[in-house]
Amino acid sequence: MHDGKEITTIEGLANDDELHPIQAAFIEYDGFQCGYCTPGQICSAVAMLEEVAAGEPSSVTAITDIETPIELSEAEIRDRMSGTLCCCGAYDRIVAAIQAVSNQK
Amino acid sequence: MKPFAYDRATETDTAIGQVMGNASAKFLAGGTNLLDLMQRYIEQPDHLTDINRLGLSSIAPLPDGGVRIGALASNSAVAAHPVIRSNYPMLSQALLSGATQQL
Repeated sequence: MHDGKEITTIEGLANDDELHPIQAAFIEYDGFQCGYCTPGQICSAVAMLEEVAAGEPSSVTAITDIETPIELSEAEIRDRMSGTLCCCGAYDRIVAAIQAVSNQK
Repeated sequence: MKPFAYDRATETDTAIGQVMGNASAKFLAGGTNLLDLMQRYIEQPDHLTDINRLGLSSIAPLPDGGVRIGALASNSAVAAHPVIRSNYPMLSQALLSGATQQL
C-alpha cells in the first residue's frame, strides 16, 4: 500500500549516537517502565508534535479558531496520545517528557 | 490471514470492474477495518484492489455553498480542513471525537 513512501521506525529516530529529543526526554523524565509501549509512544509523540505544528486540530482544540497556533496543553497532549496505551501506567511521565520537549521549541 | 492477490488500481473503471466481477474481491482503502477482520479470518477475500492512488481524496467547496468530500478523504483531513472547521464545526468535532488522528 505504501510502496515508494518513506517510513521512519523507532530505529530511525536517533542520529547515530545522538538521541532524538523525544528519546532523551523519555529517559530524563522516566517515561516508561517495562518498555513495551515505548517505541510506539515515542514515534507517536514525534508525529504528534509535527501535527500540532501543522495546525491539525484535536477534539480538545477550539475547532473554529483556525488562526491561533495550537498551544500544547496537558489536555491536548493526553487527547492526541490517547491512541497509544501504557499498561504500566507511565502516562504522567510520558506527558511530562513530551511537555518538556514542546516547551523547548 | 488467508493468502490473497493484490492490485494497486490506477484507473477507477478498472478497480470497479475487478471487484464487481469477483464475489470474493474487495476494495482496500484505509484498511483499519478490513485488514483486522482478515487477520481474524472473519473476512477472507481472495483479491484486494487498493484504491488509494485513484485521486479521490479531494475536499472541495461548491459554488452553491455545500462541500464535496471525496470517497477517500480521510477523517483527519476532513476534520482539519479550514472550510469544514469554519462552516461545519460540528462535523469536525464529531470526527475528532471518534478516534485520535493517528488512527
